[in-house]
Amino acid sequence: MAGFILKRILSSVPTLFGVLTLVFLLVRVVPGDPALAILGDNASEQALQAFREQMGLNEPIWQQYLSFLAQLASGSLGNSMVTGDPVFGAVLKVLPHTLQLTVFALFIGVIFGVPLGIWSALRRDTWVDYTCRLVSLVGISFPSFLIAIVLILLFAIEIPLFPVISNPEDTVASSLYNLVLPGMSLGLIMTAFVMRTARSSYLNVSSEDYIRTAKSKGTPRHIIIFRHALRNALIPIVTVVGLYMGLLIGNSVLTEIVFNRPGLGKLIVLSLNLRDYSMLQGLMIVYAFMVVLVNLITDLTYGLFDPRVTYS
Amino acid sequence: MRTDSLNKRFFSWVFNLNPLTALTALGLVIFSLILVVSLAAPIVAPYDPLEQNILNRLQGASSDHWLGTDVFGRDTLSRILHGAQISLVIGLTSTGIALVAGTGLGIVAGYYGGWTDIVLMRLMDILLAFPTLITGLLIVAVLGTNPINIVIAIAITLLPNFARVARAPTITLKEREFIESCRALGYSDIRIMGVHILPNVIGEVVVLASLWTASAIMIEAYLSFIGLGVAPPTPTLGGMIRQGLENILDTPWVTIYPGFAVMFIVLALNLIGDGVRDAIDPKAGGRS
Amino acid sequence: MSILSVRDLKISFKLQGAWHPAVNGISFDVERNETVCIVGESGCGKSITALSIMGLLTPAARLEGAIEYNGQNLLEISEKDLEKIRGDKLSMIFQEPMTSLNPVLKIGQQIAEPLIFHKGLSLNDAWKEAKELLELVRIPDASARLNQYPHQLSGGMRQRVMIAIGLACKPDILIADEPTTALDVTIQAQVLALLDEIRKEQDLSIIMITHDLGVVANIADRVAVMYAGDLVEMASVQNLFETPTYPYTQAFLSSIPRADRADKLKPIRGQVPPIYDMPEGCRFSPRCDEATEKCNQKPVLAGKMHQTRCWMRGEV
Repeated sequence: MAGFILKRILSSVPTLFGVLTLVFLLVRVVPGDPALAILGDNASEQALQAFREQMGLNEPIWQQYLSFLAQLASGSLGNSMVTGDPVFGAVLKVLPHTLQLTVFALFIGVIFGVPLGIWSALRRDTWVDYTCRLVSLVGISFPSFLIAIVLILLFAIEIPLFPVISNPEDTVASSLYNLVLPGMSLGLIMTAFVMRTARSSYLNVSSEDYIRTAKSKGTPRHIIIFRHALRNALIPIVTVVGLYMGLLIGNSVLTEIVFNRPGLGKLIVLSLNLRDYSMLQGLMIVYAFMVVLVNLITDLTYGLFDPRVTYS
Repeated sequence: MRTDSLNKRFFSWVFNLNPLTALTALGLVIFSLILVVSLAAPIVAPYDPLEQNILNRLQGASSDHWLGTDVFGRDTLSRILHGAQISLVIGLTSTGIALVAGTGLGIVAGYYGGWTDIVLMRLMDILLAFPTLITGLLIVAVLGTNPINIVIAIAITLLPNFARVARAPTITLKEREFIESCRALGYSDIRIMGVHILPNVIGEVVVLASLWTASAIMIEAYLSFIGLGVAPPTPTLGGMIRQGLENILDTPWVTIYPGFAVMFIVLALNLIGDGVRDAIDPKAGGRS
Repeated sequence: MSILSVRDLKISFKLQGAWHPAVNGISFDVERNETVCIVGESGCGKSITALSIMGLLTPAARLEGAIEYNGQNLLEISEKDLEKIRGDKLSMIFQEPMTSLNPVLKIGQQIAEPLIFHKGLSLNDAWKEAKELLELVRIPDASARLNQYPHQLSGGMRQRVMIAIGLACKPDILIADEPTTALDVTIQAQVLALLDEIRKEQDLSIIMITHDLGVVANIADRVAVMYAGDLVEMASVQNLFETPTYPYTQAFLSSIPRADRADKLKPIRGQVPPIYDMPEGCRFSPRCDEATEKCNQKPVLAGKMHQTRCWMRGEV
């Protein structure tokens, strides 16, 4: 198991290395002078020069690349160009909020999406099925900010149950309370995606030979559904849920804007506006790392459902 | 006699129509309607989308302004029509570019194999290592927010998907006898890829294209919502939603209408995409 | 009394708005402790017949006639009651050992299930019983195998596991749908010999579906020949091979190479008509060399010990 994890991490090293290089290059081809962008037009030539010196912008690009890698190797993402604080610290401060949001949404997506998708499959070509399919199709067509806005209008303004602005607090209870609307807005979209996958996956499984075998044994229907079909249907669902996690992490940016909620998304938009390139660079690396991690977790999750997967 | 049986067949087809086939047709109708109306926006829009009228700001729906006005008194319906035009043009061109470039890269990678394949697909992996929206966001942030850059950013985001879909069948195709015999006949690689592999790959690519056009339109709306879309005062759907959000407590419709405009465009495309896939792959017949 | 009696069984499917019979009113009996083979080319309705006895056809199929097990018409009892009989009194082995076992459940669980459902055994007792069943079907190292998953077993092993599942509750009737088609020739012989041996030990009746005349010669007591949804000939295995009477059976037998004769192989001309374009009368008549005017009317299955559905064979 540990060996498998190590191997998977090693195999994603070239990709991560490519990500680092790409991010480095993108940030360096920025049109315009970052010093001018950050310090403003009124800054003195001296101040600009000092800033360039401090950020290493005067060095040749290959030397900047090497010191960038050396810095990463020492476990640092550098300092913000604007505030001068370590990027890693700033990320760490807001990361839990984004993680809470996406994990909550994932949870909603799975606990609603899987049963609804399977219900739809069991009632194939009935009105239940048509309704479920139409609802999930509308669900995946909903822009995530729209669903957030609709939820705010309904459950924060019309019926003021939850706060308009989501502000994570110290206690678990109030953090959860603040998480409900933003979490649901992402979670409902995830539910729609999972429903579609669960339905098609269950239908594929239900026409497999081993389901017929189970019937021929006189297996009661509920045992066929839950023991024989569901576990097999979950295997492709895990793959697709892993893929949609990337979408979820990206869309959390919008949810955080609408709910004015701290997180990686708010931080990235702030850094864009401030042209804080070192912060942007660090954030991109964190995002890429999250995706690689999600893929690893997905692979490990297979093992829970599929005995054919071995970690050696 | 013959027409009689044709008629009979046509009617039995209409009455046995699966409700979901009807939905695909509905998607096609909605999309064509949106496409025509938004492309004709300069003619059909009741007002100039940029014309400000501070006295008429933040009005609700009325016979003068069917969908009300925004914070500068601009007509929401006219702005939605012009905004939808931008969304559709950007969405369709970026998907088109991604389709052409991605399919090309995928076929080249699959056909040559070896290092070409490894390098190209590693590049695609790198692009896929970012969450969907984040790639586009960084590219626009770096290149600047003009329409061409936005198209490039969205195209690059979608590119790896097309490359993957085109590569897989190419690998199996190139082992087949008819490709072998093309090589034996001395056809150039370009001719083999273009004339013999492409037609066998394109079906699968096109099926997914309509679904990815939906993604492209969604990403454009997200970028302009974040403030990385086509610059104001040009109306964009995402930008309108963002602006309306500031007055959401008093005048929610300003943000809701453009939001639903995005939703309807994407829904129509998803309906078409599902229908096309089911038609091409009857085995999947309503499986997803 | 026969253990199973199929009476005028019709199975139809809906195709483009109209019902088409896939099995066209067949009747046969199965006695205790005998092996009946149903043979015919693919698409003749033999597998559908087998599935209908188990009640495993899709709900889209329409069934008429009667399938009487111990005097009870299986077509008229509820799904719940059928569930109680399935896997207990009637069980079935399928053609594809590679895909017929659930990949995510242990072998032991899959064999134990019918014992738990039908005999009310605890998991522990069922597990012990499962071990004995694996030994019965000659799987070495049974207790270790119980904890393995299907992908860890070879095709022949998996088919033995299927047989073990089928035999778990000591059924009266075992239906085997081409159980050896997917296996190597040597394994085929072993599996057939095993089935025959168990039949004798357990007083079992076997309905074997096959298109392989080698299998028929090996294991059958009686043979039913099906053609395009009709049962066209039924006889003891010896009679059938020595004096086939129905023209299709004759052609079928002479289209197969045989080691003991040096006859010229004769392929059957033409093809089975499609389901929506079946002749009114004898369904084999378009391909039959002996067909006459009379064959445009439906013949009946005539004869006592050796039955044939043909106008040209009055008495046998």
